[in-house]
Amino acid sequence: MMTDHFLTATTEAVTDEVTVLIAVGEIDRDSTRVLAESVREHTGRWIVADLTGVTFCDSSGLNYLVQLHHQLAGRGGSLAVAGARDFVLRTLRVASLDRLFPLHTTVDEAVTALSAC
Amino acid sequence: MRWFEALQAVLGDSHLWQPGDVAGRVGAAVSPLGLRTTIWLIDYEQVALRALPEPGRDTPEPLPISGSLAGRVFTRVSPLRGDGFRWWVPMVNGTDRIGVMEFEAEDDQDADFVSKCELLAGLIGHLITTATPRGDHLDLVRRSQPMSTASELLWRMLPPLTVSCPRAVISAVLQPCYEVGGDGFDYALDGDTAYVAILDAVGKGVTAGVACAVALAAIRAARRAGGGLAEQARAADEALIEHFAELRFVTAVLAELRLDTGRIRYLNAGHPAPLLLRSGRLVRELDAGRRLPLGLADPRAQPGEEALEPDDRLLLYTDGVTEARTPEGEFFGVDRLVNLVERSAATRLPAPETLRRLSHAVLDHQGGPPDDDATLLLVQWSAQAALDTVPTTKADDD
Repeated sequence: MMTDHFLTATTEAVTDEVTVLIAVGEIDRDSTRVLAESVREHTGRWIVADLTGVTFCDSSGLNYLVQLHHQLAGRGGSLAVAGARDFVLRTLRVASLDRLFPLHTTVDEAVTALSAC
Repeated sequence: MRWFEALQAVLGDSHLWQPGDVAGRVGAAVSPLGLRTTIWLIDYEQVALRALPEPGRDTPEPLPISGSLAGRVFTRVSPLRGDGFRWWVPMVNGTDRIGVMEFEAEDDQDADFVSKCELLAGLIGHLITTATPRGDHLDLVRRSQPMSTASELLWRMLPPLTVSCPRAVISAVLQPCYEVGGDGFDYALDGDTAYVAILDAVGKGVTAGVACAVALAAIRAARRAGGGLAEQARAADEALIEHFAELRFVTAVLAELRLDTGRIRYLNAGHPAPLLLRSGRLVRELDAGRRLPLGLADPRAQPGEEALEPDDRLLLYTDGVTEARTPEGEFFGVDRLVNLVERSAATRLPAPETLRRLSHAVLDHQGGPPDDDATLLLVQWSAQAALDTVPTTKADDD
């Protein structure tokens, strides 16, 4: 588990290729490193970012998610976001990032969709 | 003839003005008319008017915009008579509000005195604009605190806050003005087309400022090379990808308004949707034309289209406006923004004054230093709104 004052991140490997990144708290310029550190060991192609417990995400947070997606795309995979709601969901949609990676309601839905890839 | 000679003295002198000379030289030119002048410049935060220091005179304290006669002249861009033999006249560059000029006479004046003062203030407004870059003095008068490096970079990139032509007004406001980093805007009013852009670079400080500057410059270069919205966005994508080692995106709305037909085309690169207001009411958010933020190529994107009606207003804003939070965490929000803009329509305030009040409402809501840049840009497709930004004696209707 990685943590700072505002954000906690844990990872759960689903398969060798798919890891779920569970973030809880607020994602901003100072806390994105918590996310980066928690997925540093992940070498698979897919990450599902579970943002159910995230209440705030600023543009630096979005920028990090896009960077992570680019890393995974470089390996032939992609990022999927799950559970984003309220403010965070709106922020992702306003930034049109649903044009870059999928937004799913739940982690299960995201994992199922990835299994179909 | 004496007024002509005064104008001639000011203009003839101005070629060699150093910024610190302005108040004294203008004072010397008008003293044969029995007049004493004080030149007041608006500060960056648009809260107070600050007097230009003049050798041999005590510099008066700043005058607050809110609650002073000078402030009223500034907000309405319309002259007013003060106590005794004193007149206050707005000073603009085109329609960009620079400040106010105070005229103090020795005795009562004839009916066309104010129009002569307006003529002089009109000349001084333009001359101050040209004299400002010659040194630091005039710019420093407008500051209540030092400016960050990012802000210095950004302000030099931006066009004047307000521009008008017979058919439209475009006006913008940025906060926090001394520490603004990643927000920016641009416009071009050429022929039958008005281009506008609002930008918000990810992150803060100089890095965000540089990203914004790069995107803005790429958009301008593409536009000036004859490129449309898609080319402008693509140029910004390429420039951001080329010049930054890591991903750095900039959200933006790029729009072009046909001034003859009111037809508007726009691309929304991951930015809050522009608000369309008609007869003082929100008609809808312009939620088409979506693409990824600038810096992330999105070749599939298609511009959105909308038909404006005469006197429509289009409000563009960055997320720093709606995401401004009180110390308790309450967002400013779109509803509050819409509510304030709708209310402002009834007051018939000049566009820059509407925006000044909106931006201060955002700052007041936060009750402390803002977390993020907050920028507002208003386009009014309206001949009347354009006239309202021109400094003339107008009916004082409130």
